[in-house]
Amino acid sequence: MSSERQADQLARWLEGAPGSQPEDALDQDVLEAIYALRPERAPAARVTVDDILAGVTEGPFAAAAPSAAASAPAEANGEVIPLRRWWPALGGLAAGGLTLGGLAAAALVALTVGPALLSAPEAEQAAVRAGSHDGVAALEDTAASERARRPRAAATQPTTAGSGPSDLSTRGGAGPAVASNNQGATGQIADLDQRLAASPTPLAQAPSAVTSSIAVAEAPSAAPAGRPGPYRPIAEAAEIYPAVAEAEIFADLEAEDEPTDYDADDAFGGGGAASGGSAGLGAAAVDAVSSPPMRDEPAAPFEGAATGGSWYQGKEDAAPEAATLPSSAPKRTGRDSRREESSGAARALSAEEPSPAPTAAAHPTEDASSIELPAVRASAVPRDLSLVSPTILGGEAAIAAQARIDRSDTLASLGDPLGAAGVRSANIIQPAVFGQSEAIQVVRWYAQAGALSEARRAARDGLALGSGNTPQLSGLLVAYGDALLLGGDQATALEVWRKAAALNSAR
Amino acid sequence: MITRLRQGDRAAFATLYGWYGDPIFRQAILPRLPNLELAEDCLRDTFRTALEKLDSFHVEDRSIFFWLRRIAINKAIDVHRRSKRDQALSDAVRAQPEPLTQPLPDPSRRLEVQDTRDEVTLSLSRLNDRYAEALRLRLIEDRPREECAEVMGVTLGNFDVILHRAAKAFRKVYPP
Repeated sequence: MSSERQADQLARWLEGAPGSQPEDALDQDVLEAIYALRPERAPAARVTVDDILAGVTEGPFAAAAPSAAASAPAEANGEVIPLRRWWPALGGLAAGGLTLGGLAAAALVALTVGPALLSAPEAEQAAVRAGSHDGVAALEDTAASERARRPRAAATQPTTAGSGPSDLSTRGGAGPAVASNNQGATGQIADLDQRLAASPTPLAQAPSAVTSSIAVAEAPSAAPAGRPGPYRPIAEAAEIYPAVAEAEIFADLEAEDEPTDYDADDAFGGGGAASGGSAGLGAAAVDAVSSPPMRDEPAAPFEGAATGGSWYQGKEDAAPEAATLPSSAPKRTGRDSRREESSGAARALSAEEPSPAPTAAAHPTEDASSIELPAVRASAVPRDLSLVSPTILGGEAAIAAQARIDRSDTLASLGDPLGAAGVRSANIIQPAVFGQSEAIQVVRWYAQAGALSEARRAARDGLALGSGNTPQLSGLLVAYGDALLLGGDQATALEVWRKAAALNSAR
Repeated sequence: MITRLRQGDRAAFATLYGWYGDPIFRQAILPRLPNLELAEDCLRDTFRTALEKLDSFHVEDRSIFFWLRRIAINKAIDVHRRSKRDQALSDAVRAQPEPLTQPLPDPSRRLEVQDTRDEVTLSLSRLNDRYAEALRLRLIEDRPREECAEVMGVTLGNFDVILHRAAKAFRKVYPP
């Protein structure tokens, strides 16, 4: 439909009565802009009393069965749409109910993981379980204090596992990745592994052949002085997650038909939204709901927005006193020129580098390949990347992880990417799909702060978690390559990106 | 009402929802979360949480509307934060590596506590001047379109097209 026609439809709709149904042909963006500025134009919410009661899991309404009498919508002109339709478009981030995607993901995980568990030696299973629990236990210690510090942030968490909006949807998104965990992705990385395997780096220092070549140029895996250990040292990670033996991290990709540790770890660590994080998040929500700011608000009648005019012109009631929206990590510009400058600028900024980063000159044969960097990197970027909710951890671990996410986001928004990375790096934990998703952000923040050595270490920590062919693994490899490139190691960056590209193709 | 709610009285809840469901939806949620589906999910979550946490509401302190509104705003912010974080993650991976020569943002800017009014103003400031003017005149000041066209010195048809494009552009920058 032409722009003029849509403009005409918009004009006619705005002339009509508030709440009238807009033309179907109007762009979603246009409608949402109108709804934001003139919410009275929006149709009534299609949410019924039964919809709400069906999700209540505690309190006097917890056991109430839906009744026909109470099933009328808030306004009578809406149909009832119990399942979300929008979440795929936003990568599954929103509030909502139990979705088919979540169920599918759970089923896929069960189908994929079950055989792996059954076939694994019993002792190994026990070790994995013990390791996972140790990892979680380490987080649980901090959970209480985290909750105490973040009543507001916790307020917004879903209080039930099943209804966690983003949780199920992100799990739904992760489902296919789990299912395709072992598909392909084998030979593509064999070459790189072979080339890098020649490195004399002991396995204890590096989680995989990919990372071993970098570890040579870096200091031993110790936390920088003056900061609490922001990342889990490789050796410790291997201890905690014995099933992810370093030598096998990428080797298992070569056995396409064999189940990987990734799945088993996900099963232990996850539990998933359907079985996990409800109680803890619910408890956190109590703090927030009863938080002090509400007491400052006047007990006065509200002004309805539907009375005409725009809420923006003073119809909106008191400003939300705590409506802080932590911004994401600062977005940078100047992409066109940065590759030419990258090595020097990165070195200039990486004052904390414990040892000189390898420079591009160390790989003279790769200089010519710089022209292919953009193309290789572009193919390395996973198109299906999505955030993995901490609720995959379940219970207290989910709360602790979410608290770290909130704190690190805040630090980043305050211009402290190093602090943000330090906090967030504790989230580089099993299950791999979560830890690697978190590691991406940690690597970016460290790189942003100029701490390239730590960025690379964080990347390796994430890579050590598992080798299942997921978008998160590809994304982490991309971030790892970025950190390498910033350190001047163009050749290895290229190789890492090629590996990510191969994984993308195989997925 | 509160007593009946605490006793699990479904009719009382139906009444409460009838009173406040739509105002919460339009006044607290939609301006912050203009996508209908997300807004509906947020509304559902708001009342569900309220029912689960009824004990934490103190009737002598405030109107229940403001309590509900606070929950709704928190939920809407949470949805935004999650979607922003998700976007940031994707952006971070998709962004090309760069020399990091850009200065870090001013921390004070990041500390701003913005309500939706500020956010609208900020978003409008990022638009083409004529787009921003069209939105202000027609949707914020609620002037008739004929008057808007006259103020802007364009024909009625042109104004409609400008407004349409302005709305489309606005959504891309809102929330900021």
